[in-house]
Amino acid sequence: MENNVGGEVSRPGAEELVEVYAGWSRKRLVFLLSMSLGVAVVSVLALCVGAVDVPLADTVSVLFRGLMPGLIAEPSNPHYATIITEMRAPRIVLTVLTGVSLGIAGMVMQGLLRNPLVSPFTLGVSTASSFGAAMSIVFGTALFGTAYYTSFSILGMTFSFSSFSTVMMSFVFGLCSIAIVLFLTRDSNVSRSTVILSGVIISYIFQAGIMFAKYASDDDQLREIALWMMGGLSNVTWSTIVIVLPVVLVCGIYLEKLSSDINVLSSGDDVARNLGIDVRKLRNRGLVFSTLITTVCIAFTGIIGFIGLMAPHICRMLIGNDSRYLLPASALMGAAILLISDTFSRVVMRPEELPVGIIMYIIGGIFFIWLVCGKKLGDRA
Amino acid sequence: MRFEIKGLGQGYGDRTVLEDVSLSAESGEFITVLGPNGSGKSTLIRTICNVMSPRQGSLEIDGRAVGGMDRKELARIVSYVPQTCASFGYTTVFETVLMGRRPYSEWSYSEDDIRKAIDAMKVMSVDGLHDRYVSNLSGGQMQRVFIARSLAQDPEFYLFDEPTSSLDLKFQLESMNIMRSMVKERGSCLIVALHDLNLALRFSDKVLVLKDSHVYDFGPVSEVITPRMIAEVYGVRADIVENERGRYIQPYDYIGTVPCDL
Amino acid sequence: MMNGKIIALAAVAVIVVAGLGTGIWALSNSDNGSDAIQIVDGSGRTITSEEPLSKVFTVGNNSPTAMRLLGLNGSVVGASSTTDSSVAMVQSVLGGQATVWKSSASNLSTETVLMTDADAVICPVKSMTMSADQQTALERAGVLVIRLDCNGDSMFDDLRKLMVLFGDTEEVHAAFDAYNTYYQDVVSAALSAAESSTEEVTGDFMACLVASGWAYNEVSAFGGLIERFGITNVLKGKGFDTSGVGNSYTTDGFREVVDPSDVDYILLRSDKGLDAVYTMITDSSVEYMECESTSAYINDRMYYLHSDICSGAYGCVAYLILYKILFGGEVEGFSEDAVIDHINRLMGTPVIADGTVLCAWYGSSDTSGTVLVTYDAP
Repeated sequence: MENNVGGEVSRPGAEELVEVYAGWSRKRLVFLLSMSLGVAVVSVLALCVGAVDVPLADTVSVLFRGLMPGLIAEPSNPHYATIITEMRAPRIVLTVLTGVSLGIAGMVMQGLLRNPLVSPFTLGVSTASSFGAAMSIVFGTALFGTAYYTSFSILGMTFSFSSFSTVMMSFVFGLCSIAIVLFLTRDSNVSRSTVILSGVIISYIFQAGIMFAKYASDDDQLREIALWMMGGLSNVTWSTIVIVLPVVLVCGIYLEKLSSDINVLSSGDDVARNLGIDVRKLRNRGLVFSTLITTVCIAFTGIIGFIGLMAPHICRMLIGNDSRYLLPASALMGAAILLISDTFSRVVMRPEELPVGIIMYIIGGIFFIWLVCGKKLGDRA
Repeated sequence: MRFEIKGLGQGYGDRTVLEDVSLSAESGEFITVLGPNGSGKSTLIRTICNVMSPRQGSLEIDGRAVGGMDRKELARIVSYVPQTCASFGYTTVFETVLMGRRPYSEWSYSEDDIRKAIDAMKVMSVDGLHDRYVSNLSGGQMQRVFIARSLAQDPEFYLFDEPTSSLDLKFQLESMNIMRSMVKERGSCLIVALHDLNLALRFSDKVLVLKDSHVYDFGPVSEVITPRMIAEVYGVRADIVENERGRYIQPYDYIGTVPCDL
Repeated sequence: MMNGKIIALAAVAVIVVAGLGTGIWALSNSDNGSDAIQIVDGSGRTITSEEPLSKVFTVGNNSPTAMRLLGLNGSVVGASSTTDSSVAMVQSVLGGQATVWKSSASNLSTETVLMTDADAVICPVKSMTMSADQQTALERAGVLVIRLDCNGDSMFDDLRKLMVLFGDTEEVHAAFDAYNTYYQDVVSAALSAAESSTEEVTGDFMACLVASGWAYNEVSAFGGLIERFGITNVLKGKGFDTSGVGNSYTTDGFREVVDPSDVDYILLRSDKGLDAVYTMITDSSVEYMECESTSAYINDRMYYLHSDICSGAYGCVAYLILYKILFGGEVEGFSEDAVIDHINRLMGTPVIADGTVLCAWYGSSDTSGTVLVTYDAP
């Protein structure tokens, strides 16, 4: 019978179907819990590993000493405490936060634009942020004078003005990209392809700016721009976390609230409108908040590609397309992938640290080869 | 409930697709919208359910303007199934049908929502496909899934755009029967755009015929579907034949480029 | 839409205002204890240390050399350098107790530096050897970052600063004085020989770095060195790049202001060997020099000088060689072999190896280059 491709083998009862749905929810929750556990374990292991190997026992004792100073013995080398609490712990927290942000942003963008090949950078955020960073690096002295080379202290912590200016400018320009997209697509009947096209336009314009900055730069500056665009998690401090964490939390929670509506968007704009969703509002809000969550991280880390593309893709294959579960799953998967890549980047060429973007592109390439050659879309959940 | 559509005008860019279209629909009526290709049937359906705002005219439900209503409230009253639907990625039939309960839920679905979705799947005979990914289904199976979603939405007015075009004969008849029972037993109102004149003749109460962006005729089916209408609107000469099972249309001639050999 | 937009804009505004506020509030980090040691490093920062340094980490090839000359190589607990050969060189200069890592530019992990227990890091002034982020990370961990080139113009000043940082002890002072006196003796011997020579040496020269054809102008150390012998830099007063070595010349711009017939001497500085220099002469990428039209080329007055003897620890040898090529003959009391050997001994290792070509000449008569001076170890 032509209308029955695959055949309808069984007609399950209503109770059975209720149980099936509950089972799916349970399976997804179990997935989320195991991923959380996995990320926690990998984080602790990542703390042990790096240019200098800190034994697991010492790592754990440094961690717990912060909580219960009197009870735990001192680590075998006094530098271990500095390395773990000042150098590695903030780095690992930022790695997790960045992986979370990019995973969430990727999933939201894919859902809003109904396209599994969309990433947080599709609408030009990466080019715009890179432009901001390049401007700061090359024209920092022109813009800020000799203050560019100073350091300043707040609450006993020193910051260099040059890093501060690079972070601020990449953040501001990253947000500009979404402001321009919203402006170009302000007509209420705009289609998804128009949205994506605006992103492409923005990319080209900012790319021209980056090329100009590169042309006007000297050798040192050129290398600095290149390294920034490769993405890296070196020399992270707790002050970075203080800024990034609240933004990621707030945006993440808000986007999770939107995820129920994003689910409905998967059936088409018209159907979604008919089911009570303000499609334009949803799309605009989703884009703004996913851009915000992305920009706040890449302002500090530079461009880290593929996570936003891979993490939601993998999770979708494992737990389906329900955004309410897919969002936290993509977040955790993004964190896991980035943690593993960053740890690898810190170890593969010791005592040097590779920019993590290099590892991401290798992994991304392998992932897509596997995707294209291997598993096809399964038939059933 | 009563849905008043007055003086509707609609277009895309410079092109006018509908001009001064009026009709009324009440609970318990099965209305079909007929017309040749490009006459504006899909546009009319989209405009009536306010997925696309009308350029001119008014839409009122029991005297209340549709444009002013809260979206979710409107979603509980009017349901729309387009001719083709998207499905993204790994979404199952069950989840798709469950989306129909969105106007009644805030963030997650209650057990009541789940049971209503299950009922809808059973009515449309897609419960056996509950765990299949919608994008993998055949065109006909997909259409039944989307109608099931519409049922789960539990509205007063159903607006379907060619819901049976991909179905085989059996499922066409089955779906039309389900639709008729929705009208008679639940008291819903259906406004369905159809291609197939015979189905319209057999199942509907009232018919709206569109020609050249205007309403050609609106009224009870027996009065509207006449050989004259078929000739003037479709350019086909046909008889309406009656036997003990009912009436059907038998075309015998048409005005076209290829000579008729019926 | 308004709700979400407002929240987003408000968040951005808060962050921008907070950021601007802290940015405008710039505090310098000086900390003046009465007995504290203080110097101004090569980047202009004031470095303060409560006590003399005892353990340092060096970055690059020049600071280990400087430490060795001051007899302080035992205080170097770790070092990094970019190539295999330079790593080996630094290892021998430091004497073997320090670990030398091969690391490019600013990729060295701050953890590694921390684990060497160093009080301070000595790195070159150029920011690529250590990024601002790394610097702040090290300082936050309690390690001073001191930028000293220990090379070129600033070499002796940097050596003095190092002396101060390490407590200016008698031994260090004596080592510095011995080296400084020897160096200045060589230089003054060469310059007075030039002054009292009967040879008339005048004209204009062009000095280039054989890498991408960069030329040294009147502000550069190398250009200044050559000028002490009485010849003038052809780029003087022509308004090019104000940094010492620049490549902002376009072919047309250069040819507009420099007449090849004015260039009487061409001095090519390189560490890449004779073949590289020969390629440079014929390579179209340095066509702006129009070598073959210059008086230097026509009169066989193009010279290659090995980079290592033009500045840094062995910089005094350049004076001997310049005297030789401009005035002819040896400087009394000092031969290139003897001077290099002396400094090699101070380094504890033949940094300049036996057989290294120090100088060669080119010209219309011989475009493949004839070796003039080689280092022959005794």
